[in-house]
Amino acid sequence: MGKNDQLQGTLDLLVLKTLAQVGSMHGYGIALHIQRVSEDLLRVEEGSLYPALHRIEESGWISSEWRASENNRRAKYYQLTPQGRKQLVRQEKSWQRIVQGVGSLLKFA
Amino acid sequence: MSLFSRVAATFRRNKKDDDLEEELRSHREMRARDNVNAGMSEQEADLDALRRFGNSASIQESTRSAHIVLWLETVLQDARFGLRMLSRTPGFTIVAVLTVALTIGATAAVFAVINSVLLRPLPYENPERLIVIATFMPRESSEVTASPHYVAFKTNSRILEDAGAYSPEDYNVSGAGEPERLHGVVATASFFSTLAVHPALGRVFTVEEDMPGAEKVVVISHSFWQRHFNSDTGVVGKTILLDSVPHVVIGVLRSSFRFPDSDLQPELIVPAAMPTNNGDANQPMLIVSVIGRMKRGVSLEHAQSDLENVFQQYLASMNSKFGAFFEGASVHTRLLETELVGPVRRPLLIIMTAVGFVLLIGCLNIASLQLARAVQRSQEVGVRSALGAGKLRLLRQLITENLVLSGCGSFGGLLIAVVAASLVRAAKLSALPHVAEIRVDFWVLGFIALITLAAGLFFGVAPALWVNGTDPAEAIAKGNRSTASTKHRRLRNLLVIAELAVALILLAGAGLLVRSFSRLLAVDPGFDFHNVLTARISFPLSSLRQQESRFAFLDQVTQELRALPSVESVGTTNSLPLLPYENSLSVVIEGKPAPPKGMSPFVPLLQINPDYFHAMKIATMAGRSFNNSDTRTSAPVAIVNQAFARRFFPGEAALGKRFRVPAPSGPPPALTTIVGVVGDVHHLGLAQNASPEVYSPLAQSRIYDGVTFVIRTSQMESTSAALRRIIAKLDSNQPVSDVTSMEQKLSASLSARKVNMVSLGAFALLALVLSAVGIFGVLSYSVAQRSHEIGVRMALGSDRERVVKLVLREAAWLSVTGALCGTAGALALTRFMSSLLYHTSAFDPLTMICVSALLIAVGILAGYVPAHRASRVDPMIALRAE
Repeated sequence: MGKNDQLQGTLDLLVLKTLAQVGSMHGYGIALHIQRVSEDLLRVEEGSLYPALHRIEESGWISSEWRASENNRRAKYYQLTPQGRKQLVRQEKSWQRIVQGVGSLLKFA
Repeated sequence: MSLFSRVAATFRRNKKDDDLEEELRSHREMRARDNVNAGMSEQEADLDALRRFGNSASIQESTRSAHIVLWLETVLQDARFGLRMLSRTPGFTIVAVLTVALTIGATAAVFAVINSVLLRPLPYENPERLIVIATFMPRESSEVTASPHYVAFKTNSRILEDAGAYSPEDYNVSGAGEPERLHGVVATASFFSTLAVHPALGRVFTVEEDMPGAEKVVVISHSFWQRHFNSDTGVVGKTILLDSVPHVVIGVLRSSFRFPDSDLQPELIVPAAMPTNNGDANQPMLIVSVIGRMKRGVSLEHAQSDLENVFQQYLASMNSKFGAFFEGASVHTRLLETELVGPVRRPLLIIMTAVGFVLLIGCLNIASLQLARAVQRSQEVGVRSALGAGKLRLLRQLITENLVLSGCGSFGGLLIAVVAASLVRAAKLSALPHVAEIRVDFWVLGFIALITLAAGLFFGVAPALWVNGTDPAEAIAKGNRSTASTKHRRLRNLLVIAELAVALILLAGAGLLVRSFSRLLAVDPGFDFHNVLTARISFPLSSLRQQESRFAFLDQVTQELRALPSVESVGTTNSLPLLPYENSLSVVIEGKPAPPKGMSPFVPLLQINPDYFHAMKIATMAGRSFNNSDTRTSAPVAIVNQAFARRFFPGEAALGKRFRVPAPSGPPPALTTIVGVVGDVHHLGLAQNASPEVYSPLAQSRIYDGVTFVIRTSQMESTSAALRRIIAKLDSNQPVSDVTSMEQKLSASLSARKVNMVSLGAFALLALVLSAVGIFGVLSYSVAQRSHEIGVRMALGSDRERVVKLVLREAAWLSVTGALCGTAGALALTRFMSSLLYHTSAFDPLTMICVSALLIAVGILAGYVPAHRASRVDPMIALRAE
C-alpha cells in the first residue's frame, strides 16, 4: 500500500503510544503531542496522519467518537481499545528488536 | 473488520466522507488558532494551516481506499488464486467447465425459446385487453362464428372498445411473373384499429372501402412487397390481379407485424365487405374469426357474460329458421394470448423443467467433485487457517473460486445457446408462434448471469460447509491422504443418489415419449403414404372457368399424367388426409327416426374421382368403388367408411342403405345409395381416431374451391416436374401449390411430437452421461481413499475378483437406490405430461422398468474402471505408504 511500510508501522506505533499516554485525543492533538514529546525531532504530516488513524481504527485497535474540544469545538477523539493495548505491546517489542538489531549492526560496522 | 461492514462502508461512503471532511476542518481550525496565538495574522494563519495540509481531497481519497481498494484487492487476489488452483488440476477443470457450459447452454437455449414464445407480450398495444370471441355449436362440437354474430357483438356489447373479424381466403395472384397461389385474409376495416396496426407504407383500408361494391383494394405483407415488388417504395397505387380481379395496393404492412393467428401468415389483406345480413339463414354469410379489444378494466369473466347475453338476445330476435340453425350455441371468450400459446405452453414448460433438472445434475456433479477436492485440500486449508486466515476469508476464497469456474463455463454456455437459438430459428417449427424472433437477447444474458451465479454458489456451498468443519490441527497432522470421514462420504453418496434419481425422472419422461411415439408410428393411417405425390390446383370463385371447363381441365391433366410411364394411378380429392376437412354435409338415414329439425348430424364429405382409393391404397371392405358410369345423370351414390357404418348402422350392413341430405328449402332431395364401404383413414392425424366420413363421386357434384391430385408414382421428382409442365401448357395462368409427398405431410404432422421427444431425449441422455460421470468420480475417489484398506484385504488373502466385486457392489448400491428414489419422483411428475402421450399411461410400467434397468446398468458400468483400478492396488506399496 504505502511507499514505506516501515515508516507506516512506525507511525502506527507512535499513534498507539500517544493514545496510551494521553488517554483520548483528537488528530491535531496527537500530531502536536508527538512533535512536542520528541522535541521537534518527529513531525507528523497531516497527509499521512489521517489515513493512518482510519486504518488503525479499521483494524480495531482504536475507537473514535465526536466530542466537544477544550475550546468547545467539535472534534473527533480517538482512544485505545483493549486489542489496541495488546497491539501496542507487540509493536513495542518488535520495535525494540529492530532497534537492537540495527544498533548492533551499526556497532559492528 | 468483517466483510459485511466493509461492503457496507463502501455504500456508506458519503457519510464517511462527510465525517472525514469535518474532522479535517476541525484540525485546520485548531492549527489556525494556534498560529494566531503564535502571532500570525489571521489570514496568514489560515493559509499556513491549509498549506500544511496539502491536498485534502487526496487525503480523503487515500483514507477511503482503506475501504474499497482493500476489498477489491482481496477479490482479485481470490480470483487469481482460484484460477491458479483450477489450472493445477486440469482434468477436473475441463470436466467441470464442460459440464457448466453444456448445462447452462442448454438451459439458456430453452429459456430463449420460452422467452420469445411464452413470456414476450404479443406485438400489439395493450395485448392483455385483446380477446378471441367465438360461438360454439354443440351440434358440430366446433366453433362456427358467422358474420352476423360478429356484427351483433360489435354493435351491442358494452364491454368492447373495438372488434374486428377476418376469414382466411387464398388468392391466385397473376399478372407479371409466374402465377402464385397465396394465403390471404378478408378482414374488416376495424381489424386494423382493434390491433392498432400502422402500415409501413400507404394506409390500411377505411370503413367505406369495407363495403360491398366499393373499389377493390388490398394491403400487402412486407415479405410479399419485397418478393413481388422488389421493395419498390412507389408500390402504393399499383394494381395486381387477385383471382383475375384488379385490386389497388393501398398499403404495405411493417416487417414487425404478426398476424394474430400464427397458422395463417397472410400475404394479402382484402376488405371483407360483409354482406349485411339480418339473420336470414338463406342469405350469404361468412364464417369469421373475431378479435375484440375489451375496454380498460374489464375482466375476462365480465366480457364472457356480457357477450353471452348479447348473443342470446340477438338469437332470440332472429327468425325461427336462423335461430334453429344456431340452437344451443354459446359464446366462448378467451385471451388472444391464451389462444396463441395455449397448445405449446405445456410441452415448453416440461422441456424447461427437464433442462432445469439437467442443470441440477450438473451442479450436483461439480459439488461432489469439489467436495472431493476440498478434502484433498484440507491440508492447504488447515495451513492457511493456522496462518491467520479467518473462516469467512476461506469461505469467500472457495466461493470466488467456484464463481470463476461457473463464469468460465457460462461463456461456453453462451456460445452453445447462441448456436442452439439459430438452429431453432432455422428449423422453422410451425408449432411455435414467433419462432423467427427466438434469439439470445438481454433477457437471456441476464438469465445466464443469474444461473451462473446461482450455480457457482450452489456447488461452492458443499465444499465450503466442509471447510467450516475442518479443524486445522487435525488437517495438517493427517495430511492430504486423510479424513475420509463417514460423514463426508455419506454426503457425496447422497449427492450422487440425487443425481441418479433426477436422471431417472428425465429418462422416464423421455422413455414415455419414445413409447408413445412408437405407438403412434405403429398406427395404420389407413392408406399407403409411400410413393404418393400431392399437388393442389385452386379455382377462384370468380374465375371465368365454368364447371364444364373445370371438369374438362381436370380430365385433360389426369389423362396426360396417367400416360407417364412412372405413374401408376391418378386420384383427385377435395380434401387431403392430414389436413382439415374442406366440406361436410348433414345426413338423415332412411328408415331411422329423424332427429329434431336442424339437429341432424354433420359428417365430413370427401369428393373423389374413381381412382382415388387405388392411388391411396385405401382398402375396400364391401361393395364397389366408384366408376365412370357414376355421372351427374345417374342415381346418386356414396361410399362410407367403417366408422360411418359403425355409428349409423351398428350391428347391420351399411351396404345398400340410403340417406338423404336435408336442404334448408326447396323440394326434398333425392336419396343417396351406399354402394361401398372402405377402411378408416386417420384423416386428422395419426393420433386422432377416424371419424365417420362420406365419399361421393366428384362427377356427381360441383368443383368448388379446388382439387388435390394424389399421384401414385415411382418417380417423385420427374412426375412433379411433368405435372407443372402439363398444367402450364394447358393454362399458363393456373397456379399449382402444395406440391409435396404424402410421406412429407405425415412427417410434418408428427413434427411437434418429434421435437418434444428429441429434445427431452437429448436432455435425458445428457443427464445419464453426467450422472455416470458422477458415480465414476465418487467411486474413483473412494478407491483412492481406501487403497490402504484394499491393500490390507489383499495382503490378508482377498483375491482381485473379490476387490472388483467390492467396488461394483458399491456402484450397484448407489444406482439401485438412485433408481428407486427416481422412480418415486417419476411417478409423482410424469402425470403432468399425460396430455402429450398417445395411448400410453404416464405410469407405464414397462417404460419405468426399462429406464431403471438402463440407469442401473450404466451406473455399474461407470463403476467398472475404478473397480479395475482397485484390483491393481499393490498391497506392498499400499501398506508401505503408511
